[in-house]
This record gives sequence, structure tokens and C-alpha cells, in this order.
Amino acid sequence: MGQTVLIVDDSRLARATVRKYLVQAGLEVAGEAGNGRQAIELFTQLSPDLVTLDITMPEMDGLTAFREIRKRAPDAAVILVTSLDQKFIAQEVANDPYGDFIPKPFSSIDLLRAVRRVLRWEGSTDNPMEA
Amino acid sequence: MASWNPELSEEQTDSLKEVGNIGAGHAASELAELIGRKCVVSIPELVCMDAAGIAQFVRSPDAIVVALHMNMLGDIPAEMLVLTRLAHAQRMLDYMSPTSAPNAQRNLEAFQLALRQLGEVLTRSFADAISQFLGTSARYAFADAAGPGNPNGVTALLGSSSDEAGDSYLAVKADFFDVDKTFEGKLVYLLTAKAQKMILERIDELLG
Repeated sequence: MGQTVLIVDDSRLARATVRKYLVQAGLEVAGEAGNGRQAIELFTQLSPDLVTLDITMPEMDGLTAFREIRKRAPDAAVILVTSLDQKFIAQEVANDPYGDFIPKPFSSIDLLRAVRRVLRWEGSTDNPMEA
Repeated sequence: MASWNPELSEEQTDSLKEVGNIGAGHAASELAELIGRKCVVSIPELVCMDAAGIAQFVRSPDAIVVALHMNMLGDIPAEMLVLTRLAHAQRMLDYMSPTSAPNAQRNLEAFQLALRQLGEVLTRSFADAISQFLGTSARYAFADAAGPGNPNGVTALLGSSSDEAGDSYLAVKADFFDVDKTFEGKLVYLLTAKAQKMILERIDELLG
């Protein structure tokens, strides 16, 4: 089975864009969530290899969800994907070897570069891109 | 003022909100860079408005007394408004230039100029992000500012991207504010039916 991803964004368009790029790269979508609370529930249930997390969402924002996920799984691979291209977002993952940040809009190259980094694909045999 | 466009599906509504989110997020980020404070945006809303409704909205006397208007030309013609209270506009300018920000009471001309520059930064970053997302080209014509000394400046210009007189717009609205809530404002992206259709077609192409 390939590596799995949980895609979190309140926008269906944003989820569809992330899904398209990651499925093309060989990842399997374990689940999708529309807010931070659902994200934490699904993260606990599904234990995905990767989470992509929007920031501006209803009920619970992505930064709060990210911090909750970090408490439960310090080495979970998480990419923050947001239109807020600001230092305080970048700083959240600056010293986090399993976290990254890409601003919207992004290309498939931007997203896959972040995926490679947080999933440690370089030099790994577990890289679907090289399969 | 209607709050829903019955001709749009949920999927289309979602897509237009995401376009607004990308634009507003970048505008807030550009502002954050300028003033050195964390700025965030609300989840965008869609509202149907005709030109009269927009004019009424802009003129709301209790709240919004500064408005900036920009025409977006290029592949997807649209209009853009930045609305905020006078005191909040003054605060943003103070953050940008704490020692020399023009004061609306003391130096009206310099204040209006600074305001236009602020509006231009916000609207351009909004439009550039959308163009990058959709892979379209954009040109701008910054039109006017309304505020002290020019209360009707914006409303007189509304409708320049409209195909016909009496056309209604779909307004994609998002609030922007600093995280300490020392100021807030609204970014309003005004789309004619033709512009909505072009954006939605482009998104279909992008998703393949």
C-alpha cells in the first residue's frame, strides 16, 4: 500500500487541487476534512503518513489543529497550505523537520517539493515518485 | 440586498470563495509586510448586489467612510473595493510610517495620497494572486478613493466593468484585520456574470 494523506481545507476546490497533485505523485487519499476539529478526529482514526492543512477554516483554524497534531504525534508529516504568506506561519514550521509551509496558489512542483521534504523521500526506497 | 445567487451551484460558490480567499490572503500578507504586524482574513462570503446596493454599502455612514476602487482589466475584467473606517485607515498608515504618516485632519491631500497607495498595494496583491492562480493576465487602473474631502468618489465610478446598465454583481467579500484587532477592513471583489463564468471555466480547465 502507498503512503496515505489526509487533506484538510474548507474549500472543495483547494482539496481537489491538492488531491489531484498528490494522487498523480502516487499517494493514496486516506480522508478529507473541512475544518481543524474534523482534521484531528480523522488524524487520530486514520494515522495518515501526511497531512496537508489549510489555516483559515471554520470551527477550528489550521494552526490550532497543527499544534494539537504536534502534541499527539511530534513526527507526523504536516504541510501548512495557506494564502497567508506571512512570517508567523513560516515560523511555525521553521525548525520542524516534519513540517513545511507552502503559500497558495501553488504549483504541483511546490507541493511535491514540500512532500519530499517532510516524508523524507530523498534517498528512500519508499518514494512513489521513483516507482 | 440578496445574499445568495441561485444560479450558482454549491461547487461553483465554493470555487469563487476560494478565489476570494487566495486574493484576500495575499492582500493581507502584503499589508502585514508593510506594517510589520500579523494580518489575517475571514472566510469569504458571496453576496449579490446591484450598483445601487454597492453604493449604499460604500456610503454606510455609521461604519465605512473610506473606500478605494480599482478596475481590473485583462483576461477577467472586474472591480475591487477596499473599505475601512477612517480611524482604521489612519492606524494602518501610522503603522506603515509611524513618524510621518499624514493625518486626515491636518493634511488632507497627503492623507488621500497615502490612502490611495495603501489601496493600490492591497488591490494589486489581491489581483496578482488571483491571476497567478488562474493563469490569466491582469492589468489595473486604480480609479479613485472616497473619504474626507471626496465622499462620493468611489460610487460615481462603480459599474465600469459592467456589460450593461443595471447589471448585478456577485461580490466576493472578505474581512481583513490585524490579529490584535486594532484595525479592520473589507476587501470586495465585484464580478459580473460574464466574469464569474470566465473564472469558473478556467477553474474547470485547471482541474482537468
